[in-house]
Amino acid sequence: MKRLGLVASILVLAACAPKEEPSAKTPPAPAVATAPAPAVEPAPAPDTRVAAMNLMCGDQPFRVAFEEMRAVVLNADGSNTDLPKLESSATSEPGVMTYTNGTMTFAKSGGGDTPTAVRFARGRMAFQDCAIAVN
Amino acid sequence: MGYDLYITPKQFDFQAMFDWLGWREHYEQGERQVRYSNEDTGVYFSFDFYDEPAQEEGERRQPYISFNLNYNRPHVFGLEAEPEVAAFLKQFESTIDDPQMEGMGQGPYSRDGFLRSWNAGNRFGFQAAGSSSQPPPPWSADPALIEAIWKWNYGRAALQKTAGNQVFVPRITWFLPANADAPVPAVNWTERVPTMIPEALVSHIALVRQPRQSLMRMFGLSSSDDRKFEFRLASVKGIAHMAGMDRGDAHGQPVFYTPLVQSADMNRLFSGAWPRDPASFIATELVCGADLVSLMKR
Repeated sequence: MKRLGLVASILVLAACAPKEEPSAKTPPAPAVATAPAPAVEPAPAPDTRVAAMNLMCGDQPFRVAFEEMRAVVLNADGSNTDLPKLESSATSEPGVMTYTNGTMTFAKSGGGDTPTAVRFARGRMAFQDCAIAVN
Repeated sequence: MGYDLYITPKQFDFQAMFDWLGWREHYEQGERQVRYSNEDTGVYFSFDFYDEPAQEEGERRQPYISFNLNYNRPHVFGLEAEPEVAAFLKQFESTIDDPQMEGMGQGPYSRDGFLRSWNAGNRFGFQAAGSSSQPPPPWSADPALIEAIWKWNYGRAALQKTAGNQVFVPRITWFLPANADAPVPAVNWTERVPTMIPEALVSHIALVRQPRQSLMRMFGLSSSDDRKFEFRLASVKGIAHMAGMDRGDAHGQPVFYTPLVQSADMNRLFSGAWPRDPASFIATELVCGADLVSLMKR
């Protein structure tokens, strides 16, 4: 039974940190596909069970859903941009997951018991810290 | 103590019904239960599947589903549950049994009948809680305000989708300020994040920032701060008319937008030392209409 009662609000703020849902869940695609594949595949829709975060990186706002193997940027025009997760290597920063398509890069760390931090870089420019909207 | 609606589908295809509910927004599947829980509104209820007919005389003779919605809840719980029950009955042809005191009996199902039945049981629940030795402690608020806040929160995700990535659409939550005797509705404004604020629905804004590092802490002279965020409550009146706020409408509510680049005045709002626990969060289900809470008084 979900009876929350009074809880210190800072805990709740942490617990509710940006959990924002895209619309209705998407049912499984039908098995039959007769149309020819388009020349350029659009990025698949984000997993609707993963919350999208509202971020402010420098003066640029973003909505991003960080999934296990990719990050999906929800663009203003309704399209999505897929950023695959980089495999960690010997030179990777510990505890930091990096998602990039070469043009845009997000680096995410923390989560769980520690504060989540997100940084953003465009191309080869320096990373900027992102403010994460708390709900 | 809760409301039960018994649903007997013409064809009891457990997997089809279980999966159909599971694919809908806000549902999670358990073993023989599908539970609805909306994080934005705080509303929850469940469908339990009983695919073995009861053996006892007078019990249900066919596999059935029990829809359950607790009593002693704000009236908006019924408003959010009803379309879900109606959608299920539309998808799977069924008979119903609503044995509550003002229930629909053996049907037919109707929106008005469902709300009449659940609301009557809910009122009874409040009366019963009032006559018990330790009644639960709901907070009292204007039922119209509770409903307006619920509508905002119910439509928040869709509004965020429409608004895109340029502005954050926050949910409205109830906070109990330290030393106050009643909760206040508020939305979060995170430092630097452009945010849409429904000014007529909230009395306060929770200003949120990342914990500041004090010099003492930087030099290891005080314990580390384990908080993920710091916040403080500010009156919406003091913020709504600051220079730089844009105005508009959303979902029939007047709103203002915090800007992409904060002014010096706004930066000052987020500066300085903030108290550690300025307010407590109050779950939505604990803020009920004054009409319902008054039923608890003996």
